[in-house]
Amino acid sequence: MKEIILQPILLGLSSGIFCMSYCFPFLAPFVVLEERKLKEDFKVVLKFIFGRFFGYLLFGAFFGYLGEKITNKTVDLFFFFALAGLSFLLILYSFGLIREKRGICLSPKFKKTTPFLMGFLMGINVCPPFLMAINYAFLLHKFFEGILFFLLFFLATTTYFLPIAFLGFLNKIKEFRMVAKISGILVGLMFLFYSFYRIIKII
Amino acid sequence: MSPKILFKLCQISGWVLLFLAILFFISGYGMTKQIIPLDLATWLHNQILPVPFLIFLFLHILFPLRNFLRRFPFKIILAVLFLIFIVGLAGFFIYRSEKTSKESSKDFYPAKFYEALDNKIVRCNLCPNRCVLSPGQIGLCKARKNVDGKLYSMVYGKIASQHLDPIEKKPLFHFLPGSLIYSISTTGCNLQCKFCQNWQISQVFPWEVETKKMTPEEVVEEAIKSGAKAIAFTYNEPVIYYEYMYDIAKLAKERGLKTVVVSSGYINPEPLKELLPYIDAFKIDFKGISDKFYQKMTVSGKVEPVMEVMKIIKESGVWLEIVNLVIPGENDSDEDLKNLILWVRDNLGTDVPLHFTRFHPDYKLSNLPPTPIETLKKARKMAMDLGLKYVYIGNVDDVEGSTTYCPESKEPAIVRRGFFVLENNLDGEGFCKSGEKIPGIWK
Repeated sequence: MKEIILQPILLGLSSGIFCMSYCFPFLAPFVVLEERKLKEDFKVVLKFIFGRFFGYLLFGAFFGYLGEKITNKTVDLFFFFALAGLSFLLILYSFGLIREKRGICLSPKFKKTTPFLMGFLMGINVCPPFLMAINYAFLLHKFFEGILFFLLFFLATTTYFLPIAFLGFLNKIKEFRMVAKISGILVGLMFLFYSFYRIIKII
Repeated sequence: MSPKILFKLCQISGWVLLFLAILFFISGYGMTKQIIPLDLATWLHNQILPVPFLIFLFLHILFPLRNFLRRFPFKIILAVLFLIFIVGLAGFFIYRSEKTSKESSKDFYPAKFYEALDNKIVRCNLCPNRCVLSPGQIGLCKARKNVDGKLYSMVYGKIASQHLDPIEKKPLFHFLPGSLIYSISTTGCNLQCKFCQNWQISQVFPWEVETKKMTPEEVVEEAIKSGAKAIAFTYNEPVIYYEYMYDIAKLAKERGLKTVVVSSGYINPEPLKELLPYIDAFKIDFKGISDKFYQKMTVSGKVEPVMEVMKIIKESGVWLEIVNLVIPGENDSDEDLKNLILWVRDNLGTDVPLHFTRFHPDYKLSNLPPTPIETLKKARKMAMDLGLKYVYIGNVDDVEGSTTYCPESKEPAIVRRGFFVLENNLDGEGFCKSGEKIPGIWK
């Protein structure tokens, strides 16, 4: 039991900074892009974190139990479709197409759930610390232990995410808001093309 | 964001940072001077403290950063730097991800001894664990992986540790006494003993520690250059890097070097028999006499396969020495020791050297005390009374318990202290002055 509790926490703490820097290109433009109050910035980050939480839980169960039955190809395809979805969402948001009042073909509520959705897609996405956690979960071969492992790994990595909300002070500066839009579009396009490239390669 | 909040944050985080810095210093000092338990100090210093330190440092600089930004006349320059940082970070991760995906399959080496089952599932038949692996899964040994229906060794050519050791350190007492042996290891192990003394390399994946890439040719070349007479596959469990060990051993024999395997003996008969022609000596860790002990102390061990392995080695004529690590309260009862000695005597003969070594608290058994020296002496006496001719005690400074005696005349043949030979009274063929022959490999 010690391995199931201590190992994921230490793994999360030691690799969390890497996790955070992987999510940073997606989350930072999102936080800086629009002028908000500190409380709202925290809400955005918390929604993102909850999204990641569900992503991790889903994958904890998936790899802890079903891991024995799925193939690498299926997993890779799933990862890169999720990455494409995440990139597309960031591009839409950066272009201002996801709005509360006059969104294009999207419900006004969609804007509020976008950070959650992005976090979810980020949570099920492949990054090196995540891959390392998968390797350990693969060794467990158990459904609930898999979930517990990913849950604790998530909590440990989350320590690094909360301070991102304080980046919100940059969204008070016009120049930074503009640059955040551009970086959101560029990052979105880079990962979108990369995920298409990998999907084609896999197929 | 209100400057008041940022200022307060700056103040509080400053004090916390000071506190963390003191703790960081104390734990660092504790690591070197051992004023607090080493494990605790290392854990605090390397794993726990850097996290809050980074977070509070970030919070601490927010207020000055805000003031700087407000007064800085060319905000657009800073904004562009922000853009470059984010896009650069994204580019870096794409590059890393691509590099990792290419390296992951390129770096592996095709494994032997496995069978393909349905749906690209494989069963590894190298050791009695017989792991059944779906694509992407890694064996219990953390060294073999199923990649798309084929089994690969992830540790081939990746040296985690290399040293020039005295042969007595293995311990092998009847094999080229006083010589140096070129010793290597990779990462991983198929037993995962709770008392592992080399857990830093044996209980990890190959990417978790720094490894050095070496081909079998380079290993043999390095061993010859070092002046060693033999190569030892040791430190972690060599069975799990079977293919690498096999290739090195074969090459070493061609170049006139001897080869030694220091193992737990948890291997299936087929791969063992294929390896034996290229090995000169085995040191087997006979951890305990019962399944109960193996099940309690290892990941999924049974004693029967280890016994079978020792019998095969003995029958093949390859030199064999046995080590039993005596752990207080776990395998040190008179009954356990007697049963182990009797099994060795009745199945391997009285000529097989048996070493009782002292346990030191480590890894997951750091709560237990070291073995009392009296227990080791008692075990040695018991083994000699039951007819074993060459019984030693190890991991203690005891000249008598480390000395080889001629069985009939009782003259000291080789006197040792620790890992060093003080006196060698045998001739080159292993004969005592009284004419008695001591079994072993002496040249």
